[in-house]
Amino acid sequence: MMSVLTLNNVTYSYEGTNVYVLDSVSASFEAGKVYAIIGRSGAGKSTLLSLIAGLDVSTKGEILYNGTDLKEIDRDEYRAKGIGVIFQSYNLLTNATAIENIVLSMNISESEVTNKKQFAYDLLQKIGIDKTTADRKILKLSGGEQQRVGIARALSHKPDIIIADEPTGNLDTDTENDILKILISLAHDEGKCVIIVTHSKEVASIADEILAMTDGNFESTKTMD
Amino acid sequence: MYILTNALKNLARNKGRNILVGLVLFAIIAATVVGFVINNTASAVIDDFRTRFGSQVSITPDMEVARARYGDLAYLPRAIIPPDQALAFAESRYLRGHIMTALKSVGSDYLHAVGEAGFTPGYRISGLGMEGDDPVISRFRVMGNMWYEFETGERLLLEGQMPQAVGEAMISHELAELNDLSVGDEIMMLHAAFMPEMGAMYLRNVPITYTVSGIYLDMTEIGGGFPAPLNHRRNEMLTAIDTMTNPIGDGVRAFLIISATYYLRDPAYLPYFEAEIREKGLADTFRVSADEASFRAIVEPVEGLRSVFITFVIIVLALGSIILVLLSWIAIRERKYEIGVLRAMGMKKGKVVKGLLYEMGALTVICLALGLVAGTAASQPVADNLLRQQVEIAGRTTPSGPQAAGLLHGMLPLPEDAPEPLSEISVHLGAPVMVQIATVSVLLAFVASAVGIVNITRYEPIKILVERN
Ligand SMILES: Nc1ncnc2c1ncn2[C@@H]1O[C@H](COP(=O)(O)OP(=O)(O)OP(=O)(O)O)[C@@H](O)[C@H]1O
Ligand SMILES: [Mg+2]
Repeated sequence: MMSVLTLNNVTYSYEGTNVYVLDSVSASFEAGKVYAIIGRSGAGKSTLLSLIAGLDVSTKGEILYNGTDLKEIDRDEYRAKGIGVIFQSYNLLTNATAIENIVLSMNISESEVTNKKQFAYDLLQKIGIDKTTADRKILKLSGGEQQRVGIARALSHKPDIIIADEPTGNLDTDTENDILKILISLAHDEGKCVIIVTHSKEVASIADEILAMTDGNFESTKTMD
Repeated sequence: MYILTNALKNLARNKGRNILVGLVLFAIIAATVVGFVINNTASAVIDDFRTRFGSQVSITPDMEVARARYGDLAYLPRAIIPPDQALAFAESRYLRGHIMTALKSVGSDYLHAVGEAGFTPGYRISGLGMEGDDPVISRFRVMGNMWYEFETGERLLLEGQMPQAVGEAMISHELAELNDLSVGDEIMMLHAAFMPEMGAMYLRNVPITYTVSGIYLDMTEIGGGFPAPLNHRRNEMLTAIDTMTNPIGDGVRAFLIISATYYLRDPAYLPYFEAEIREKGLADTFRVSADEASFRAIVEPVEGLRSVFITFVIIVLALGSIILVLLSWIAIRERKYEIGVLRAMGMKKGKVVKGLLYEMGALTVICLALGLVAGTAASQPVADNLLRQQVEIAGRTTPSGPQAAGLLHGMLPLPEDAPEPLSEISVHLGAPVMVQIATVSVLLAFVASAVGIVNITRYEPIKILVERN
C-alpha cells in the first residue's frame, strides 16, 4: 500500500541548541492503519509529531506527505486540511468556548459542512461533551474535558492523518476505550492514518504497528497481529 | 467573514485588556476632540473680537501739521472732515459699517425756542445770513440719527411716530406746546447754506420745510442755570441723517457737521481703505489708523489659551501613542499562545494579522464613537468657560466697537452692522474634522498593532506554542 507519510532521515534540533532531539529518523505510515509511538519521556516523540504536524520543518532530512516534501507545500493548508492534531497540552483557545474552538477550526479548514455548529455539538456529544459543557469556556473545563475538545477539533475537518500525543492521558478507562474505538474506526473503516504517541500499554496494544523511540530514533518496528 | 466574527468575539473574550487599550484610545480621542473644539472656539472668539473690536478706524487731524501749513487762524476748519467726504468714505467696500450722526443749527423767524423767554430780548440773535436782511430769529438744532436716548429712556415718543421719510422731523413736547404745533404740521426752518458760486465761506439763509412726524418727551433735568436756547435739549429737532444730507436744491448743501465712525471688515483692510479715502480727498493733514491695541489686548489671552490646549493635545497624543504601543506590545506577547494555536490550526499569517487588525479596528471604532460624543460633551462646558473668561477680559478692556461707540456718543448702533457680542458658542465638529480625528486614531491603532504583529508573524507556530508550554 502507498504510504501517506514517509520520514527520511529526519533530523531536528531546537533553535539555539546544538542537541539533535531527532537524529535521522526514518519511517513510513500508511492509510487505514493505527500506529503507536512509545518511548521514555524526553525521547523526542512530541517533537516528531510537531514536525509531522507541519508546525516546523526538519533541520535535515524530509517528511513526505503523499510523496511531496512538507518543505515544499503550503504547510498552513496542510495543517488546516491534511492533518488533525491532538496535542499533549491541548492547545485550545482558552478564552473561547469549546464549540467556538471547533467551529473556528472548521472555518479555517474551509469545511463544507452547512451547519457547522450543529455538527460540532454532535461531534462533541460523541466524544462525551454535552451541550452545556460545549458552551463553556475552555478555561472552565477539566483537563479530561479539554482533551476531548482537542480530539473533537482534530476530527472536525475530516483529515487524512490524525496524530495524537497522549490522547487518553487524562481520561478514565471508559472514555479511553470510547476514544480508542473512534480512532480505530477512523483508521479501519474510513481509511485514515492514525498515529498515537502513548505511554499506555492498553493503547499500544490496539495499534497495528508500534514504533519505540529512544534518544531521537526508532529502535525497532514491531507488528502486532 | 469568520475572521471578523471571531475578531468581534475576541473583543469580549479579552475584555480586561481591551478595556485598558480602549480607555487609552478613548482618552486620546476625547482629548483631541476637546483640543479641536478649543481651537475652533478660540478662532470664533478671535473672529468675533476682530469684527467687534479690531476694526474701528480713527481719522484724526494732525494739528501740528495743519497749523504749520495753514497758519494759526485757518487751520481749525481744516480739522473737520468735510461732510461730502464723510459721506463718500462711508461707501467704501472695505467697511463693515459706519455710524454717522449729523448736527446743524437752524433758525426761524416765526417759531419760538424753548427757554428763550428767560433770556433778555437782546438774546434773540440775528440771522445767520450775510446778505444784509436781518430778521429776528430764534435758533434751534437739527440732529441726524440721534436715536440713542430713546433706547436709554431719556427720551420717549409721546405722539405720532419716529421720522421715516426724508423731510420728517420730531420735536419736543415743550416746543410743540410753545408754538401750538401738532403731529402733521409743517414747519419752516432757515438754514445757513454755503453758496458755492459766491465763495466757500459765503453763507445764506435757505428755508426748508419739515413735517412734524412725532412729538417726544425729554426726561432729562434741565441743569442749573439757564441753558442758551441753542443748547437747550428741548429745542432739538430729530431727523434722519438722509434728511440732513439731502441737497437743498441747486447744488446747495446746508452747512452741517457730520461725525462718522467707520468699521473695517478686517483690520487688514486698513491700507486699502486709507488709499481709497485719500483718493476721495482726505487731506494729508489727517492720520488714518485702526484700533489694534484693544484688539490685541483681548485676542492675546485667547491665543495663549489656545496654544496651551494645543500643547495639551500634543502631549496627550504623544503619551497616549507611547502607552498604546506598549500596551499592544504587551498584549501581543500575551497573545502569542493564542496566535500559535490559530497558526497550528492552519490559519495563515495574513488572516491572523487581519483578525488582529479587525479586533483593533472594531475597538477603535467604538472608542471613536464614544470619544467623539464624550469629547463634544466635555467641550461645551470648556468652550463656555473659555468664552466667559474672555468676555470678562473684554469687559475690562475699553471697547471701541459700534455698540461702544453708540454708548459713548449717544447713538443708536447700526442694526445690521452691529453684531451681538459672542455669548454662546455651539460646539460641533464638522465632517472634515471628524474624518481627521478618525484617520488619526485609526492610524494610531494601526501603528500600535503593527508593532506587535510584526513581532509575532516572524515565528513558526511551534516556537510560539513551545514558549508557552
Ligand atoms: N523548545 C525546546 N527547546 C529546546 N529543547 C527542547 C524544547 N522542547 C523540548 N526540548 C527537548 O527535546 C527533547 C524531546 O522533547 P519532547 O517533548 O519531544 O519529548 P517527549 O518524548 O514528547 O517526552 P514526553 O513523553 O515527556 O512528552 C527533550 O530533551 C526536551 O528537553
Ligand atoms: Mg511529549
